[in-house]
Amino acid sequence: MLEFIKKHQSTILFISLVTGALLLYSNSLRQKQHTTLFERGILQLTRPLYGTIDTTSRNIANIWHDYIDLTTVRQHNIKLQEQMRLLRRQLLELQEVAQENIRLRTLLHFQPEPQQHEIPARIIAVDATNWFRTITINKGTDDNVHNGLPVIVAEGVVGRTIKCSATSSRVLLVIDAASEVAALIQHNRTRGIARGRGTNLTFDYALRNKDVQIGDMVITAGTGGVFPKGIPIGTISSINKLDYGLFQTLELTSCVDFSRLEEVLVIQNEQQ
Amino acid sequence: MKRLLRYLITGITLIVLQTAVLPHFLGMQLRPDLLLILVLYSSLSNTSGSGAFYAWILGCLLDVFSGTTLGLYGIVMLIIFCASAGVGRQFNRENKITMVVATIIGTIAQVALLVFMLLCFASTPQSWLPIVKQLPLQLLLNLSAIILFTLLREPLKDFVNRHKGHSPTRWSHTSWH
Repeated sequence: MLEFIKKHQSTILFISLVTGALLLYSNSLRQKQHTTLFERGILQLTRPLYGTIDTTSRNIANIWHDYIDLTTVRQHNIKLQEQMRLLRRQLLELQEVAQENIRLRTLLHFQPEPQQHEIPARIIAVDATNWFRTITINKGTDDNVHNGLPVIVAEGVVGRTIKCSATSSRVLLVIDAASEVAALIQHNRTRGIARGRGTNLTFDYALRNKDVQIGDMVITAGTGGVFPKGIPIGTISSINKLDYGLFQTLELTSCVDFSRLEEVLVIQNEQQ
Repeated sequence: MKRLLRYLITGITLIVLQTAVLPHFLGMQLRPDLLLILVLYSSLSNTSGSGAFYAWILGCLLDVFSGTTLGLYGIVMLIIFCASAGVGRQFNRENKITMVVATIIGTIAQVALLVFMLLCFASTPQSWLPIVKQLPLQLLLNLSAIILFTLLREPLKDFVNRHKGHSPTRWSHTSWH
């Protein structure tokens, strides 16, 4: 027996290592929402490194941008003033709509929407490989950030937190292939699922008889249990309608430019 | 223990470089897989069982910063290490081309293993498609990284030896043996 083990030492070692690795992987698959001690430890250990790199790169970028901004500040100023006038008018209109909405909700005895607390965070790292789409932010459980919280920017949905350590968290972007968001088309309320495809998204399970146009906005449906209702996901960029079948598949272009993300907001419900 | 620590420190340094430094220069979606190169490099210089264990640890380390499930890269790196160490015995490891060939085959093997694992275990269908689409780009990036490393290796060795006052043969003792 001992001789057999000695003879096939490397094979036995290989098989036991692969078996151990497979067991760990299958266990992790069952507990995807859980951040292990190993993950927490490594994220915590690398946080100061990421912090230093982030601060240094920001300082260098600031020096450069300060100079560039100075050269175009006048033109920017004129453009921004024009935009501000336009936005002021839109804001007044929206305030009217909001007032009307409050009155109607009171009339219909609607429950008030739960208050949401937003935690601003900076992106300190991107995914280590090109295969997956995740980012690391500089807020963790110390700042009340937990697994499964929605992450957004002003333009729309960014993703949700998946692994949290005390001072940093990882966010699964909506464009990652493992990401699925309950969504609806804004103008005709067609429901479906927005799935990540690496660089863009698709909108699956939209009934083929629904009238859909290129450029239609797709928003979160609020039924998946993670994202609140009404956050923009993307606009329809192509429609794929086969000759048969119940559904049509729509390609979406995300509202968010993920290559230029710097700051995000983590949304926390009042109950959390 | 010392070797494990050395692997961990090198692994973490490469990951930080890959996730926080390189994106500033190459953009969000252009990253060579430096950890794969490290695993391939160590498999050609250290074929022992402990080397396979370190490859698994490095894979798990990569899992902390990539994807959603701990252990996926662990298995992938472990298999790549064992295959590379086994096949690498037949080649002249001192030849610079060996490492370039190992990088090409290693990258393709990594994609094949990732796709296989995701097809067998992933809960989301078609999550492997973006991986296949990215293969040519990743191959190019990894090749660029290894060629750059090969070109810089000799001048770096000379530089370190000159500053430390070591003989050139001393460097080989501090490799991944």
